[in-house]
Formats: sequence, structure tokens, C-alpha cells
Amino acid sequence: MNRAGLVFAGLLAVLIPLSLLAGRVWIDPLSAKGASATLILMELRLPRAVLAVVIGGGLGAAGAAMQGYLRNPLADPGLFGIAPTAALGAVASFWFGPLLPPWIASWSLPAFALAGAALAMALLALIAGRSLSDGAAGAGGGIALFTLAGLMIASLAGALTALAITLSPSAFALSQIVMWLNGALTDRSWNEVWIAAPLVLVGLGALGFAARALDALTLGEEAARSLGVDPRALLWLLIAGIGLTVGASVAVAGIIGFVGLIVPHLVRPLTDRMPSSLILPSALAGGCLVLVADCAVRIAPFVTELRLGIALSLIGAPFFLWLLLRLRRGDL
Amino acid sequence: MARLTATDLAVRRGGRRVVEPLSFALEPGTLTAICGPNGAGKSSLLMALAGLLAADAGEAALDGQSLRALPAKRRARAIGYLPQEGSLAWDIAVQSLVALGRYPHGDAESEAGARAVAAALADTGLEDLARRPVSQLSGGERARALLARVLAGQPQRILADEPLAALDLAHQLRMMSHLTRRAHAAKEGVVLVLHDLSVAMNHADRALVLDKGRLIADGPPEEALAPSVIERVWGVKARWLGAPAQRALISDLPQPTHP
Repeated sequence: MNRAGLVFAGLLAVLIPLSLLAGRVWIDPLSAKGASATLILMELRLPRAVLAVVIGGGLGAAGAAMQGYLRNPLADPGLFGIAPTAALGAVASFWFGPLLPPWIASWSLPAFALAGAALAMALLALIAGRSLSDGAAGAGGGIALFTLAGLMIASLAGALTALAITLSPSAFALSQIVMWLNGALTDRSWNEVWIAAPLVLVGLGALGFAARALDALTLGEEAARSLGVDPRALLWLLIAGIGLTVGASVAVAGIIGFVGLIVPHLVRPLTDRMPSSLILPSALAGGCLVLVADCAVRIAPFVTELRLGIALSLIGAPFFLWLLLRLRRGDL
Repeated sequence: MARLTATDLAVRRGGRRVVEPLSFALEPGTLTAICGPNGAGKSSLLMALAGLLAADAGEAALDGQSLRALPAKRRARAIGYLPQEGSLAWDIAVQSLVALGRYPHGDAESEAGARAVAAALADTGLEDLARRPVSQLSGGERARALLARVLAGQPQRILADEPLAALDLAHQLRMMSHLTRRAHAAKEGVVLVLHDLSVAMNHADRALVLDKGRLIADGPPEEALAPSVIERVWGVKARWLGAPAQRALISDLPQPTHP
């Protein structure tokens, strides 16, 4: 593990125990012996903390891989329509879930969300993949096309989600959908952890396999191909890796934006800036970020708990602006 | 030995034939220059010779094996390709950049890989700059670092697309003496797309002249870049002055004879 990996692994080791103590009910680690304290810790806060780390890890690594692939420090899985389409899949499951046999129905939400994420990645690959494998297009054209295709997919998914909301079958379904769209980790249990963790781990594995090819892509697409990078294989690894990590996180927590954008920028200065050096540390840093943000919304003095997705967007949007300004100055 | 051949090789790009069927064999140990006016198909031919563009007809082959049929990593170990565009996505250190050349070998972290990277850095005089971020290099240092990346892969062939573009005179000469040395080191071969005909004349062992995708001349530069060929292809009346290997091209008329 490189320096950045060690830093964020150490930070995570400190943050996880701390996060277990924080909440509406503060638990004193020295005197917490009661059954209710154990229950709060083991059944509420620990799964929530683990889920925050799993989701943050997946989103952080997906962001690092996406920035490496697009050779662009402003890339984020959320900006390219993947998270919105996963959310559309989840919303669709509120519609179609009841029609499915009961043994499938409980899995329909994560399954639909994952299918949505995969669909978005496949669409991106279809539209932009061609330009990326044609040497004539050049990296610039490829990136512009990828970005615009992602925006198109995101707005289409947004429109279809809005349609699903307007036509929602019942007031209960409506509130479910809306709550769901603003991602949160409230009341999540070990169930969600068991759904998301394996998928995120497999996704991280796929991104790990893609890491070296992403390094070669630093030289540009033509030079990377001349080094033996297979653009199609790389694209499919990323579709699998980003689809699984982002899809899994949307499946259990709704849309949590900007993690993939912010995290690689926190990690990059501590590394040699190669995409492969960023992926694991970005996973760890993503875990830290989501864990901290989730603790913050838990203890923030609002009437109801602030939604995690909203909180991260409130942090993320100004951060994006700051990145744009740095990019304009040529510091990025 | 790495004999690079084109057999009735034609290349199509963007729906248009940019290289018409042409055949030649490039022997190892030679420096070959591909010359021609803008849009003649030089870069496309070079990319096809590197196995990066599919042949529209015929084939490009290395030691008789079709490049497109070779596994990508094996092809990459045999042929080092230096594109004209040298933009880097991330501000990495020179050392990391050069180590990317080991990608097809998959051994950047092993001893053999480290030795090849160190040799490439030494060969291009970049040892002292190894830890420096690429953004802090001068244009000449940067071009050398990009070349070192190719050298680190220890290819049998080096194909470079206008490696002298954006280099000042001293760096041009340095780069050419470097590439000439690589070419004449028995097993290697170098193929360059060159715009500067004087450089091609003075440094190349052989010149291929392309015009509108057709091979117009092929031979020692004294013949392939003869004034008659230059007039026919570039539409410029010109003559060579000076002693062999120190030739300079003087155009007699400033205005082209082409309509």
C-alpha cells in the first residue's frame, strides 16, 4: 500500500470507533454496559458505519477510475448519468416490485438499481466508446462526447424518474421514492451491508484489474493502444467496476453524489498521481468522507435527520466550483 | 530480427482511403524516413505499421506475422510507437512516465524493469530529472522523456511520428543522433515521419515519399528525395547544396508551381 493508502486506512481505523459513539444518543465508551447501548451499537450504528465505509469506498474508487479513464479531473460517476439511471432503476422497482413473486421482490430494488447502472454504462460505451477507439477522434473529442452522452443519459433518467414520481401508484410510494432519491443511511441494517459489500468488493476488483491500463492511458489513447492496452477490454472492466460499485451504493442508500468527484482530489497530492496509485486510497478516503458526513448529519441539530445525499451535495457543489476555478488558473 | 513489411497495404480512416495499396520491406538496422506533404497519409501509414490501424486491404507484418493477428502485448513489446501528440493527462514524475514503457512487459516493479527504465533515463540524459514532475520540464526535456518511455520498452522497432516537431535546432540534432544510434545498433530499426527533408536526407538510410496516399519514391534519400521528386510531390523547384550528410535544401522559387 502506498503512503496515501496508509494515511486513509489509519484515519478510517480512528473514525469507525468514533462514529459508533456519535448520534442523538451519545454513548460513553467507558460506561456503556447496558443492553440498549449494545443494541444501538451492534444493530444500528455498526452496520451503518460499515455501510458508509462500503458505499464511500465504492464511490471513491469509481471516481478515481472514472477520472483516470476520461483523463479528466472533473469526472464523477454521478455526472455521467450512472447514479441517476441506477436511481431510475430503483424507482422502477417501486412500480414493478409488487408484480414480482415474493422471493424475488425483496431483491428487486437492488437488482433494478444495478440493472440501471449497467444500462447507463452500456449506453455510454455504445455512444462514446466508438469515438474512443477511433484514433482520429483524439482524446479531446472523446471526452467531450462522453461528457455530453453522460449528461443526456442523466437528464433522460431524471425525466423518467420525474414521470415515475408524478404517476406514482400511491401517496406512500411517492414519499418512499422521494425519500429514497435523497440518499441516506438512516435505519440501514446488516441486510443492506450483505447486499452492497460483495458487489462493491467485486467492483473494486474489476477497477483494480483496470488500474495498470488506466496508467497507460495517461499517455493518451493512441500511445496506450501502442503499449498493448485493449480499449474494449478496459471499457468493459470499467463498466463492470463502476456499474457494480455505483449501482450497489444507489441500491442500498439512494443517490449520494460528489464522493467520486471530491475524493481523488484529496488523495492525489499524497501520491505519484498515477491512476493506479489512486484507486485503493480513494476507496479508503471515500469511506472516511461518507462516514464523517453521515456522523455529521446524525448529530446536526435539525428536527429530522438531514439526508446524507443532500449534505454531500451541499459540500460537493462548492467543491466542484473550486475545482473549476483552479482548472481555469491551470493549477489542476 | 524484426523485418517490418507492408504487402499491398491500404488504410482507410474516417471512411476515406488515406493510404493506397503499397508494398515495401524495412530491414532491421536502418533508419527510414517517411516524407510527404500534409495529408499524404504519412501518419496513417505509420500507425498501420505499428498495428494501431486495421489494414483496409493487404497487411502489415512483423517477421511475416500479421500485426493485427499478433497479441497486443507481444506486438507492443516488439514495436515502440511515439505519437506526435505528447499531452499527458496527469502531472506525473519523469520516472513514472518512463516506467509506463514497461507496460507490455508487466514488470515495472521488478529488477529487470527497473534496469530498463534506468537505462532509458541514462540513454536520454534524464537521470537527474527522474523525480521531477513532467510539467516542470522544458520542451526538449519533455520530448526526451517521451522518447525514453519508448526506449524503456526495449522494442526491436521504434516508430515515431514527427519526433522533431517543437524542438529547437540543438535538440533536433541530439534527438536525431540518438535515433540514428538506435537504428544502427544491429537489431533495432527506426521509422520516422519527417517534415524536414534536410533531416531526412542527412540522417536516413532510406526514404519513402508519399503523396495522396501513394508511394511515389522509395530508396536511398539521394534518389528518393531528388529535386525531380520534390518538384513533383511538393510542387517546389529546389536543389541540394553541400557535401553528403551535410546537405541543405534550397528552393529556387519561393512560389509553388502547383495551381
